[in-house]
Amino acid sequence: MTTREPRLAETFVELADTLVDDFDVIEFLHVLIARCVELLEVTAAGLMLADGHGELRVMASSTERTRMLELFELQNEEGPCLECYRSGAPIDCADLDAAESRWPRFAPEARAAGFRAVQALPLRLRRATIGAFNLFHSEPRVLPPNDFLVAQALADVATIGILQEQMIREAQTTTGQLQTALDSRVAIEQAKGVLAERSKLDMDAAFETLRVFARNGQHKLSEVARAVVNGTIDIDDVAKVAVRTRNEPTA
Amino acid sequence: MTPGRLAFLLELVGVREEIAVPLPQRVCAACVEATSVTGAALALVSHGGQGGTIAASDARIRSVDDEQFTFGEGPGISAFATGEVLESDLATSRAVSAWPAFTRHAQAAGIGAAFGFPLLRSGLRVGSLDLYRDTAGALTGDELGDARALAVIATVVVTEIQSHAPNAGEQLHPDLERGMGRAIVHQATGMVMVQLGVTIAEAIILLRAYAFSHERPIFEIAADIVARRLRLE
Repeated sequence: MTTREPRLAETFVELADTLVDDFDVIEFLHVLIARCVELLEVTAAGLMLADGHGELRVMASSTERTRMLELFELQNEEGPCLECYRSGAPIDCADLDAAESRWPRFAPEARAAGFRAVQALPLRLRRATIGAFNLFHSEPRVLPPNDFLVAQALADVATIGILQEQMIREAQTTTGQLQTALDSRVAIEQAKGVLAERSKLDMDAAFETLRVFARNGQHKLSEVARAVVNGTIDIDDVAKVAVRTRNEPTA
Repeated sequence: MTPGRLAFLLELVGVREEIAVPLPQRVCAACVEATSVTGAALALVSHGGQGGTIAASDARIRSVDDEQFTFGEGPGISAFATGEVLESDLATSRAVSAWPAFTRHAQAAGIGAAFGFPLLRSGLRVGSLDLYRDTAGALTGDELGDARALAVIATVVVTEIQSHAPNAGEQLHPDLERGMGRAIVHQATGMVMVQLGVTIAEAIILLRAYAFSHERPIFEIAADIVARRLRLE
């Protein structure tokens, strides 16, 4: 532990750095997995995250062999990562030879891949479990308690990083919506003016015309408005709707 | 900005309290309480500098701030376009050359200094938080920190309101739309575009120029155009 501590501190600094500007979640998870293998003397590691529908997906693996095994686990819906994700609790299996009845498909597959033991730690913050972190050993063993704490700390860092990235993405969506709505409202009012002048309509009738034209063509109202204002569609085509609208008061 | 100061500002805005005063207005009131400014206003701005003041600490500040969108210039529009602006003395030639019409108007309303902070989130800009002081003078470092933090809080507040709009990506939330109130000017701009056969950008300039040269508020001109009492020739 003593020789490892400086490297461990560096790893946390490195991970914290990736949390700021230009955060790339995939790169972040690869750094995490690589450091985990290096620091904890595990043979291989992998990380799965739940998608928007709650289905796990393999996000990062230290080797291709590990990735194939994790994909196998998901395809067969059986194994330590799935159990860990569903229960939100760590899973320890110190000897895969004795796990045939627990995981009849996964255990032989993992042994064939050269692993003798497996552990899974949940990625969780408070009550939400967002994925699982998997450690594979080529010998029948589990991590000693100190190493387990380090692994859990790495899993916590990963969780915070992933949740933060999701928050940033969400903020981007809502801010983008506000920006679009602001731009749209100006264009819609201007387009009402254009139509009102061209077709001698009042503003309510002009709005109704835009709305019906957009609906008939399955366009967004804001797109039609922008096209009217920028002159990229023929205003007379839009205005034709007005005649029909006035002839069919129920429309 | 220490976590303690941020917590103080959030407390000042009262983000967790259920009171009748809308959050955008509470942000403006918090600016006045936290710093030496006389008033604060929150404006939403679209690309092309169109926009409106949706909240202010008082009616005079609201009117000063909203006039930016008549002139097409001012601290909020500059902050939106290029980032933070600090004009600690509107009497200087720099302020006058940056915003000639706005500066004259603001000074006539008793304003001595104007500061604009962009509402920025995830690299996207949606408006500005504008601070005004009757007397000239710079903001202190602490006041700058508070203003920037309050601009962040304001950004979260307005995006949060918009996220509850029935059609969030298309139409402004009614609570935000209510404050904007420039619909008639945009409608008149569209009419002028057809009347004079010009682009929308040219129509905006012509409308402003007409209001300016006839020394009449742009709303009156717009209302006359929309009511077809006036045609620009």
